[in-house]
Amino acid sequence: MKRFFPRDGLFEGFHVKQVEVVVIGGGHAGCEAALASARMGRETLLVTLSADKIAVMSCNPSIGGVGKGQLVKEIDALGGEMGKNADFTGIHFKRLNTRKGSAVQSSRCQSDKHLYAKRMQEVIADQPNLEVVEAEVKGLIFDGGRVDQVQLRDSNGEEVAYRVGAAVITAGTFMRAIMHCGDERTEGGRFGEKSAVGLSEQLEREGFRLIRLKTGTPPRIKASSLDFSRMIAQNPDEKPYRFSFSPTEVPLPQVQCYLGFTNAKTHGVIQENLSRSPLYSGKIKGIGPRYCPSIEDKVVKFPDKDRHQLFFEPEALDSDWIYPNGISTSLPGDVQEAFLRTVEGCESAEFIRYGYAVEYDCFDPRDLRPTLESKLVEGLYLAGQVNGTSGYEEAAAQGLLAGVNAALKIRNEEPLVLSRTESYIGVMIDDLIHQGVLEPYRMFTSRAEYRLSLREDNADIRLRPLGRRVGLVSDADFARFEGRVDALKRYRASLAGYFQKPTAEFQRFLESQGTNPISGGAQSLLQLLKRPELSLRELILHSGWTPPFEVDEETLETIEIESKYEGYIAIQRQEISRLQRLSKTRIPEGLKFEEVSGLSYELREKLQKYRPESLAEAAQVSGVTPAAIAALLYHVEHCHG
Amino acid sequence: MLRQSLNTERTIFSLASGPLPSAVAIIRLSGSQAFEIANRLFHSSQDSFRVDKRGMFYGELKDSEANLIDNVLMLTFVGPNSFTGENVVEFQCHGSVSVVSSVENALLSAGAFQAEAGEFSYRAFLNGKMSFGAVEQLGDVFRARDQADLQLVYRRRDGSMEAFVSSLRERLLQVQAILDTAVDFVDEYSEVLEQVKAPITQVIHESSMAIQRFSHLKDASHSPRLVLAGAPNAGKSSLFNAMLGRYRTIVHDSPGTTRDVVEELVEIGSRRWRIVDTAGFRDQTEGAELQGLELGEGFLGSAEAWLLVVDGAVGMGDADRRLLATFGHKPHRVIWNKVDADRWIEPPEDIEGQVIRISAKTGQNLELFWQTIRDLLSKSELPGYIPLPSMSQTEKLQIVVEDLGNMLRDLSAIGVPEVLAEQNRQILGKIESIIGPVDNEDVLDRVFGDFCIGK
Repeated sequence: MKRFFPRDGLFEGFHVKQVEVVVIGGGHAGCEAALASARMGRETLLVTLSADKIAVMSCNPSIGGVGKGQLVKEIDALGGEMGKNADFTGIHFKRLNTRKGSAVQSSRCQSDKHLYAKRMQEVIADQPNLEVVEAEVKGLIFDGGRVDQVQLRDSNGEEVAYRVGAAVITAGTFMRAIMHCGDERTEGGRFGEKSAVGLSEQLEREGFRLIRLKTGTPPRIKASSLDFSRMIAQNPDEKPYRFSFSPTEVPLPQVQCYLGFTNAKTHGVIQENLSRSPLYSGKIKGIGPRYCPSIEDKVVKFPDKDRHQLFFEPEALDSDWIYPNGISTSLPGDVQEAFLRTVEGCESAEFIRYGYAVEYDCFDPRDLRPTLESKLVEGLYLAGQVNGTSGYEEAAAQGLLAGVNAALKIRNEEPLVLSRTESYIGVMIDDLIHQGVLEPYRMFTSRAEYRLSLREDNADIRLRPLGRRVGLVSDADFARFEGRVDALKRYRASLAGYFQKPTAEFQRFLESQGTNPISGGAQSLLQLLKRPELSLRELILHSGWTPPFEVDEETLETIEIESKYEGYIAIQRQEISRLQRLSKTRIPEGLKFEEVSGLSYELREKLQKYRPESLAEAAQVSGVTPAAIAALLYHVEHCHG
Repeated sequence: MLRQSLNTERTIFSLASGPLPSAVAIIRLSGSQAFEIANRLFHSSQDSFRVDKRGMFYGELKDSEANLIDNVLMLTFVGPNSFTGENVVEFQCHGSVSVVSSVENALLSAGAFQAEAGEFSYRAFLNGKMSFGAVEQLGDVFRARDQADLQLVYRRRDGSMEAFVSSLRERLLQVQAILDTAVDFVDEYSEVLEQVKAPITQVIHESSMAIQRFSHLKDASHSPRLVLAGAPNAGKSSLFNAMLGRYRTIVHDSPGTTRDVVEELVEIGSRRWRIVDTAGFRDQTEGAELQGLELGEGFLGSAEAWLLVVDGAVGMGDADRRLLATFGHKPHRVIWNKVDADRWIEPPEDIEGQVIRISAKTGQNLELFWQTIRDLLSKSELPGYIPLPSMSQTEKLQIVVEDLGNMLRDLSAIGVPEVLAEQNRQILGKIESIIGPVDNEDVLDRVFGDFCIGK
């Protein structure tokens, strides 16, 4: 059931094929980009060096995590594939930050990495409008500031050009990639794979700014060589909390992983051999991620810590491979063996593959528009690690947005732009295109100032309608969503309308939860829920209220968090609408910033230089404080017209 | 208060000089009708006289029935080149109550209105003649109690508040970083939460000191207190008089002569101090003195600094010891008085470091006394890096202090890092707004309402 064949055509006398959207790269960004574009009805070509590497988990076999789980839920709400794929192939689900009163909970699962890639490859194979071709990109041809053709060369050396309406580059860490393992240097972006050489050079000539970054991956160990009985077993959640808002399943058996610790001996071995780490001998010039540091980094930067955590995670159900999370390294193989074997339970660890570091090119994301389209070439979109990010989730989120916008471009429709007030994806893109990157960009909840409002449980409320608008949310999914919103409303109203009487039994319950009994008359359950000590579940169990109907996990979470943190969330809402007002407040063209009182001399100069067009844009200029924005607002409103 | 003032159509007047009677009184008139009204009342034989020209003219001021009120000097300022930005006329007349009230009556019947407090400055502000900061500063210049206050007000122009606020902000940013870390790296967050207590407490402390600065300024009656305490007849009143440089309280050799608390303002260094002379603290008290004694104890409690006066001929008593034990944590010195006497005993060794030997009667060692007291009192001052905030800044600081207090409470009670992080984020926004412009009409009202009429 193949769906379309690229049409042949003639271009300036040459034989060229034609396709609407081409996606270069089959990693997590490429998959989302290609699927989104095809699902929006565009003829899409996915170009990859090897089709069996599509959606491979090159590093950690897990999806989600703090800040990242939110991204996955948002991808899903918009109609992306990552959340569904994670649900169907997860083998260890664990919700993080679930302690009492938490408003920032994040989902994470470890996946069977073989099944993860396999399922995604099947989804892509079954997707109408989507073709996969194995080839290397020889070059891009631009015409009048627009992307015009993509030239490919297949494994037989045969060359073919495609005329395209839009192109999405998701080349990951493959551009001019060099792998380091001790003194050994190999060209390539992933173990055993080639590097993509020509692409970044060509775009650099076109005026794209390049940055050199570094990332790393730990060694892989044979499970059968480890003594897990001397580590701490980590159980998955009893009931997996799914990523997808659509009716997915978690069909695979859930397995344990194990926690171990480095010790003084481990650190000693690493210290002695630092000079053999390309990171410390100066061979690697790229800047690595601060938040996912190599074990060398940890030992050097935190000399006071006498141990570091190490999670031993199975890579797949039917595999002997263990991913030791927490010891990414580029030390030589013999040193890796020596230090790991000092860890309890790892004394006879057998290595399947050594850890290595990868140095690669990425594009300066400040050359991008909020749609992820290049400012330099129309119709050219960049997504994923090529924009300086790190992580599957960050990549997939960008891939989705780039794919959507490429398709919208061809449809000639209004692009999809996500703001930082409505989503983590918006926060990420806003950070990337305004601040640029100095190290691989990883999502954290702390990057989102409105994190109490941007939660996993309400990702669909925030983004489903947008996914629907662009055509990525099916009728059934959307009907389900509308049902949930309605249920949420009615359930909450019912809680607000039920007044609990201060019966002796209920008062005892309140005291048992460590909170004061009700004083005076009856109180509504919604009011009681505001108390930090009370959970909605317990309240339902002990009050006289009977729920009008059953609701899902997310709905209970939404009601609980929003009533507990009502005050803060209300202030955030005000701030958000103020921000939206700011983006509507244009700064008059001729405004002289040196006349604005209340601005420091330095800021006046800076603003004069950047000449922001709106107050929201001014707020992005580094060093501009809310006070400065207030000064500008005052000036614009009172002194200018 | 500014209900009337919001109407800038009306022409306003007010006495701009001090209390009557005085040598000269100045009455200021401002508004669109100022020249027209002045023209009706003022009559000059000077050739150059024209009311709508900037200048100074001599002539007669007459009421509407052409009765002479006074010979006056009239100054004219043509808007926008005037204090308020409007047309302004100033009459300099004789400072008698009858003359001034006749001028005011004449102006009233000519259609001008008595200005409300701050109304002139308000117009200057509206017409862009004064920035809001300048208006606030003007108010504080009027409030300044002494030279030290005045310097604090002027230092605002050099960005003392900006520097202060940015140092508070720095520390709260650090708190933010710590809290964010606690949200994103969940393992050991309770330990992490402990780390934010110190910087938060510090920010509360420093903000409170800045608030204190303003409240001292605002409450004109508040000058720091230097209390003289000690046994009856130890020579407190003699010292008090010596410090004032004149004779005021009754000084007598029978114990317990000073019945009430006597206080006087004295500039010491650049700061004005309220020196308080209390009745003696005696071991046995009786009758009429009891009340005064209690009052004295009370004053020591609220003193910024104090001096224990001891009769050198008698030496330290139990009561003196008790006072040192109770109030020894406050800046203080022991004044070993009456060293001019034939026989006096040396102070005990354990307090030697706090002792100044003087004779209040002969003035012996008074110079050394002053030098020591100036040093002592400068230490009781708020630290120099604490600036003087304006009223609107003080109000915002108060909110910040309150919010930080709540945050500290929640830190111990709930300890959910993302909620604390959100609290801190919102406080950061408020901190930043302290040095932002003011666009709240309420604040404007109160700032201008605080002015004396005529400014």
